[in-house]
Amino acid sequence: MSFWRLLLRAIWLVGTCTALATAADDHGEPPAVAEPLPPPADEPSAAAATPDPTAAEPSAAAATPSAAAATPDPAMQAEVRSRQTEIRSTQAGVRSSLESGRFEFCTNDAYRLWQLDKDRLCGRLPAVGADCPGLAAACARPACDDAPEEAPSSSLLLDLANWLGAVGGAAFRTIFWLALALGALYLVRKLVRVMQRAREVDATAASERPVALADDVDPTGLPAGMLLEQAGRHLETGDARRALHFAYAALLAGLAQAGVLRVHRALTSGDYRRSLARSQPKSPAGGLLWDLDLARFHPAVDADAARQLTQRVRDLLSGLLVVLLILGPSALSGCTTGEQPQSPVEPTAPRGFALFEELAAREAATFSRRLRRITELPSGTTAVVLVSPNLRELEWTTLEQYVEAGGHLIAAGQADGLNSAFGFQGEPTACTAPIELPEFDIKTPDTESVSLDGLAPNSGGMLIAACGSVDFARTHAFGKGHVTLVGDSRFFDNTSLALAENASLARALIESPPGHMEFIGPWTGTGAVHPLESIARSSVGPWLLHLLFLLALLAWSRGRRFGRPSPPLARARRSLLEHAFALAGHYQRQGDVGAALARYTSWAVALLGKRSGSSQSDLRALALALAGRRSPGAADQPDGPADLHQILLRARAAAELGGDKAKLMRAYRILRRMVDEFASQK
Amino acid sequence: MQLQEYREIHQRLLTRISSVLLGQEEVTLHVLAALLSGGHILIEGVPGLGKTLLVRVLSRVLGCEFRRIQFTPDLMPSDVTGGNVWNAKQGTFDFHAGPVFAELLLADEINRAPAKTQSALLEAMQERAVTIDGATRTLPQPFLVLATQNPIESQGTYPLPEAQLDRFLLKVNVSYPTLDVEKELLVACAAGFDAERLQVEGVIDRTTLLEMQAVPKTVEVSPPIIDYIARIVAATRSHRAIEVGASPRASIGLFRVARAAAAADGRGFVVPDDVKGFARAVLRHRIVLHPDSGIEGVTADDVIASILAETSVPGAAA
Repeated sequence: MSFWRLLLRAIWLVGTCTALATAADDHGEPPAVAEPLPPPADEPSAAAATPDPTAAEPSAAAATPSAAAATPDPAMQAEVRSRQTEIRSTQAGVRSSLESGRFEFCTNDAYRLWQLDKDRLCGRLPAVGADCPGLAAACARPACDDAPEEAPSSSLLLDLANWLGAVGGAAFRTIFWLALALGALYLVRKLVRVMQRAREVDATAASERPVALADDVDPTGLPAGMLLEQAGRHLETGDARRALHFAYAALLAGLAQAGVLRVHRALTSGDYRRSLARSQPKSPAGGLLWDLDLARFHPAVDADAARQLTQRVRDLLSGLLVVLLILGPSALSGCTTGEQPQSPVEPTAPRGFALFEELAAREAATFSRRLRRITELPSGTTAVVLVSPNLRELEWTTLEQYVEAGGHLIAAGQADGLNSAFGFQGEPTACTAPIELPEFDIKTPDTESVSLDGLAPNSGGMLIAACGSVDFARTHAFGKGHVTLVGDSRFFDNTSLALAENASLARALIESPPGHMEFIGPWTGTGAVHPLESIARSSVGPWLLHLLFLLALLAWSRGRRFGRPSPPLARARRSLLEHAFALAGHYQRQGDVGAALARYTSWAVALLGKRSGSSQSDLRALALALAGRRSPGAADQPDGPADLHQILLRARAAAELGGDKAKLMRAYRILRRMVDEFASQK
Repeated sequence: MQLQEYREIHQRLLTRISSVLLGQEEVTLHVLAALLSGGHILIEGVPGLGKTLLVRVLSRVLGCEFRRIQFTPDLMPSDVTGGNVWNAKQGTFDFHAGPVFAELLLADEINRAPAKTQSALLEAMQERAVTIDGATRTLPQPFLVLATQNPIESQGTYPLPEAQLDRFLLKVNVSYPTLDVEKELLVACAAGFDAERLQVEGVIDRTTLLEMQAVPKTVEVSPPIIDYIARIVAATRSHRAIEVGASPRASIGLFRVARAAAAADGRGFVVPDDVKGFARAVLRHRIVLHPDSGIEGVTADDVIASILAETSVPGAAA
């Protein structure tokens, strides 16, 4: 069995098994939900109503009046106060992260904000500027262009993709990857062959290439200083010529390091001089290169001259080093962040979540940002943080089951499907006032034009924090677990956490039993489960449809046979006789009757020999067999077997012998008649 | 003659020729290098670039006898070499020397003459003697041929066969002058310059020329330079774009010219720049490109440039 057939069978087997296994998962078998760790035994019994101690802390801090708030538990208040010191250390950790310089919007005076961030932050610069000094300069600079985010549009293709994904996602995936793997394997195989061939050619060329001489010194192999050192060493040992070679190489290396020269093994000192004359007309390096070249190729090398030249190289390289040190930093500095705007989706951007991730990573045993679709959660997941994700119904179901089993879900900001999954109702309301908590100094970066979102009014749940008369953070029991709602996901972004004690509150909101924490946001599921979804997300659907339409037009223009296997063409075969006649006619047109007759005779003899049952090679026997057949009324008749034998001989050799045309034609007529007679016999 | 004196004379020759032939310094350098190496030169360029003027000026400054042959399709070999003519009065054959018996011969548009006539000249170039009716007659010393070709005409031309092209030490391409040079030329014309009535003082004479031709032979060539020359020429035999590479005659030619270049600089030794500077002129007419390369527009100069860019210079491995 060939290599490719074996490979295909193996891939088919693996793909089928994978498809079957994955299809079972995708077809609604409830995934294994991570069992959250049980709460510690010393949790106060009030945890039955507030299942998580963290939920109790903010509620204790929610001494702020709120129409919807339940009465804080004094025991929990005590618990909260005892942990405030620990929680407050969170802000110190955030401040040290900010000071590290990674978050340039806070520390870089040359930072540029996007317009949206400017609107959000700069209106309250006196309040926020103290904690984030770099912002003041950023607010003074012009904003980058900020294209409005487009709301994802639902498309028929995406709906189709979703429907198909539920049914045949695994099958599509298998076929797609299979095709990709086959193609890749084929390419790799071809590439390997090409590389092998190229290696053989190189090996042949290398074997023919003359070896470089011992005097050759590679100026790119070592730093200039080391080459110069070698030059000095050779001077001391008396090998002046070798010293000059090293000095030459050292000069080239130094010039290359300074960026003033491109060094290549095929360039001569003349080439370097011309290059330096263009780029550094006043530099003495060109002249020194030439002097070195002249010295090292001189038949007799003067040791003193070599020493002087080496010293000149040393002096020139020292000068280059000073230039490098002075100009180095500015020469090396490229575009600063201030000149190139930072992408708003970067984790360290003002709207990024890098600070939150650091904070959460310290809080949880393990922490990960979820990229793949939520078909299941890792075992040991004790908290899931949602930040305005875009999830499907199946994923909400997964989260619902997770919380019911005892998990802690922290949902910040709006998310389609959250309300229907957990039974919440109402639309978010804008905050009417800043968030105030007696135990926390909270600053929000919102301005008069851009405000935080609060939660929809809800009779259930335990209030954690409020912004004026609107709930901002609240926790709800759900099954064995609970859901903490935070009104606005922007509270968790870098700008927000950098301020006051916001990070401390954020930590309090996400506090959960030790375990794994998943961070789910708009980035979750940005990949595709199957090719159709990938196409839908990449917005090439219209182009593909266009292409399909053009192909259909092409098919229509080509006719019905396009794409269908066409019947094999009926190829009319010409008989040998026709070929022979055609060839004979060709020779006749050329006037070479003898050659035509000779070829005709060869064919005729073969036919007559077969049909008569006689020999094809023995003309005498053939003549004997044929001589007895006399056609009545025929003009040309051989005079017996001997005559026929002669006729056959001469006719077969007519190409070489030629002869009288009348005789040749007679021979032709006789043969033709015999052939016709036998041809008519079946 | 010493190297210093050689250098000075060379500089004077260069200056004198450049004063007449504007904007063709590189061409003049190449021509002088070939002449002083004792080699023949093939000059290719469109009409009107001063090829004939160059040779005439050369003959004046070198103090050599100058003859010109205009090659035409009806030119006979005897028109080049000369022949025996019957003298009826004396009843003997008198030998009438052809224009080839000159010290500096301009073979204008050599590709317009049939192969038989071309070969008559080429034989003279190689042997420095002509054989007419069994008698061999030596050509004068020095004997230098400058042949010209017009690259734009293909009708009615007889391209020199590759084997014959090898006889030329250098092939020099003359190109259009720059705008500034052309303006300078017009200014000179306005001032009364007339190429037809050229008055150029000689710089040297024939004897000095012969002495100068002996000087490059004293220039030393170190083993690394010899290796460099050999590698460059060898590379033409394995390059993918070249069907027929350069022969050892090319190596010898490059060797000679490099020495002349070094001597012109007043040096008694050759440096890699001398070799690289003349490699193109020595090799461009000695290689035969693949037909594919011609179709793709690759020229011999491009190929040689790529070879030079790949061949490592002695003393600088990488």
